[in-house]
Amino acid sequence: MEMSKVKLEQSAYSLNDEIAYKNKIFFKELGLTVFNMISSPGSGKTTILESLAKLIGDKLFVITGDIQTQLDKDRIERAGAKAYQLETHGSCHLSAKMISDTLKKISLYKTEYLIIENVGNLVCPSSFYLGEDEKIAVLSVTEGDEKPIKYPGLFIRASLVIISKIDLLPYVKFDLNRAESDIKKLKSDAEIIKTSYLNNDGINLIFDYMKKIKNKKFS
Amino acid sequence: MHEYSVALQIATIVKKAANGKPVKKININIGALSGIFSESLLMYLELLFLEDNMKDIKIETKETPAVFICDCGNEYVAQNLFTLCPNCKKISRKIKSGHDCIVESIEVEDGNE
Repeated sequence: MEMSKVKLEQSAYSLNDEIAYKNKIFFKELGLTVFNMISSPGSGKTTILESLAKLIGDKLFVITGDIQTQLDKDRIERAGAKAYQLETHGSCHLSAKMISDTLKKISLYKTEYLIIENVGNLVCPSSFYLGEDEKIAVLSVTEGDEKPIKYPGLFIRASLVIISKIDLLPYVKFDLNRAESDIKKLKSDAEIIKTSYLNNDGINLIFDYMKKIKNKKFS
Repeated sequence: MHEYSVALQIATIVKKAANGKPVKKININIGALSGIFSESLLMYLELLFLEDNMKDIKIETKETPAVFICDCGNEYVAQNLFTLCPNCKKISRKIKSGHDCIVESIEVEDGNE
């Protein structure tokens, strides 16, 4: 039986990326600035999104991904933004197709900013492009300052790193200088914003960053 | 864990490229910085192809090194993301290769004897 070799040189992510680039075009046509927010579970992503929702209101739409439940969607909507809950029923990350399918179900009227809150996971989500403009990483001080070097796949791609729960710094062993230094080693132009829910610190700075990305995209 | 998603995509790419011909071998290059664990990927691929009645496929994986281009212009092979540039001893680089998982080629039966 004769055999022949078919050369492909095709990325295993190419099918996902094809859909992601279509998402990207759709976002631009609608005038949306889009962020993919990634972190481990319990880092404070949803709390940060609640605070942003109170600040930005219905110009913010959040697609929130979880294995199960509608809890995050309810919190964000109560805070004033629009939200849609994507239940992955087991998948450890969101894919471009999940986002593409979701876009057919939601209304983005009046939306200027779309944040995709990825499934809580420091590994898998960073490899799957969804069509976003920028990736945002969230790292809480309760997780340890060695997280960036232990999970470089995310931190080498995130243009903004939010260090959350800084009001707990006096009570945890977290070397802020070390974490910031390692983040900059992985991505020298990454912005770092520190947040504290109790003091509402940092939320305005996050919105300033979002506006900067929007201006850069549409100027 | 995401090796399952990657395996699904590889299976789709392979079936499309084979265009109906029986696939006998798949060659996959796994970048050193891709975060893909080859044993997990192989396990999921074998399961997926078993479902499709393609159990005789040989799957060969090869790790490809990470290559960085430093801001100083030097190109070098890196052991990890913190490997210093041997020329300027700094970490300030773009990743040229080694962060992806590539389906390099497949071998199919032509059906001619």
